[in-house]
Amino acid sequence: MSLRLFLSNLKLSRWGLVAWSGIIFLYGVLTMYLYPTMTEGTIDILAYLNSLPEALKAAFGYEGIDFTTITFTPEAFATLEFLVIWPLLIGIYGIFASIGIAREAERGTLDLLLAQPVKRYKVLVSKFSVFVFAALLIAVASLLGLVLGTAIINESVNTASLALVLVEAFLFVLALASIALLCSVIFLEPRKSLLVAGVFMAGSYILNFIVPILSDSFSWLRNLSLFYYYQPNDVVSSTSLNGTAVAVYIVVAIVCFIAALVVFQRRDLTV
Amino acid sequence: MAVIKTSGLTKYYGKIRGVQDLDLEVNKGEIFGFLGPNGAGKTTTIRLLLNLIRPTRGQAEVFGLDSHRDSLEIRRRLGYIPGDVVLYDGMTGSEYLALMGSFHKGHNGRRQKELQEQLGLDLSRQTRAYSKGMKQKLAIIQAFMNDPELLILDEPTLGLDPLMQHLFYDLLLNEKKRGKTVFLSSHIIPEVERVCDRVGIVRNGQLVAIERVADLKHKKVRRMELFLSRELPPEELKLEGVEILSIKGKQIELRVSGNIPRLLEQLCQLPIEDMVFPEASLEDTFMEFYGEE
Repeated sequence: MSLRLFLSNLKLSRWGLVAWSGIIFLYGVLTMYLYPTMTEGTIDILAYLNSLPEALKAAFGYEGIDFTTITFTPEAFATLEFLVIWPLLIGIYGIFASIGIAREAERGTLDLLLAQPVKRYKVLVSKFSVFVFAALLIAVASLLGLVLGTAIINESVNTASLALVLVEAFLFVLALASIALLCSVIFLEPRKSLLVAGVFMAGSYILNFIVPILSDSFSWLRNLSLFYYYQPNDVVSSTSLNGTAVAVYIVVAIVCFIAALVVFQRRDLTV
Repeated sequence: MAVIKTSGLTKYYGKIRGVQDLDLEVNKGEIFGFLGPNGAGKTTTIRLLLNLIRPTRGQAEVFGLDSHRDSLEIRRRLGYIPGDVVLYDGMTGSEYLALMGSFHKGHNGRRQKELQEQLGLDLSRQTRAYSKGMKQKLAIIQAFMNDPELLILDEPTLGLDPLMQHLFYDLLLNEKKRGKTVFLSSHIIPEVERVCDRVGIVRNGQLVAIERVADLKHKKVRRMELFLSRELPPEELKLEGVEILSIKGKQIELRVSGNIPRLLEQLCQLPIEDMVFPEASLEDTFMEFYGEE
């Protein structure tokens, strides 16, 4: 990795990073701040959530959750209101960040950079490392937001279980970003890369949450979805990572990242 | 010794031809002009030399090294100015140069400062606030600051005012004096005439001519306009070494490439009232190459 390139790119993306971290931090604080308001009518809310049609529950990522068995702890609340959608939100950030190399190719800044004595893989590693660093920072900001929000309402929360969910969510986002990076170096066109990575993310969401509701015979397709392995409720209740999820996300991230390196190494940088 | 050597260098983008069977040699210490109309293959050739794209077939060598396999070593020893200079927004000029310099082990801050002072560029400003000419100056500094053995320049004076253009030519000639080699793609004929030792002319992806600029100057084509006192039939206008371009009544336009004293003798026989015989320009000579089918 080129440290100078990493730092330069970090500096270039600093305002976006500050905005995302700040917003997610405030969202975490606000989520937990609302917890007492929700618990005052807990029974009704859980009953209401349970009465939602499966398709609607699925669309919110609540598919398969029996709300009657849920104890409405701060951790459970944080999971339902914050951690379930965290990979979707940060996944979008990850996709936009990872197609940066295609944006550079289109703008022309990559030309002069690759005419310098720097190996292509170093360029890619340095640029992707900026996203990895950013996603870690956002995850930490998320945890801090949740913890601070809980402190404000004088409640206590199992920080370790929330941190574990965020680790899993971070790996999930890493896998999504690696797929976007691969699209980026294959097409070297930001719009096409964004479209394909976006379709993959949406398709993955549909495969897991929508297809099984529409047809039982195609429910096996959800195994192909990255969303299928993300079960924050299980992580919170067991206070341990889901080994399969971790393995799937790491394998997808590594395979796509290596493929991106190989493709980028051989890719023509046309005008 | 050839610093750049291409053999049968060919690049196709799918079915679209970039360059085809390009055989080219650029010698150490010369300024080589690379000319051709838009889409002729100039930028494709440069991108092949820089390993930004890979050849469909054929080979390119720089410093005797393979342009693809030994690309890193080659890029350590060259400076490059792209045809369209695009900089990172959100950086100052000095931050940009520090980034580009960080890839070169022998990055020389003193040389950077000299160039900055020569070109009069404020490096503390954000690059997004730079005008086209300022961006070009920054690109010139980054290309020259590491004291490269070879400069590959794609339309380097684009956006520079005439004063800066002349300063840039002096810089180039100074580099040549120091034994450096320059590969200069340009559309500006007076620029080529002024600084280049040899020129290669590329058209439709193929090299159509390589000439010494000094030789080209001898081949200059000159135009002449005659204003006659009366109209003459074309058969009475048979002149040696002359091609009649147009006859508009008593006004005749000629292209002259032959013996001038002999032509003047013949012209004395014609009823000439006035004539215009401007200084010869390489532009017409190049236009011959550009327009030939």
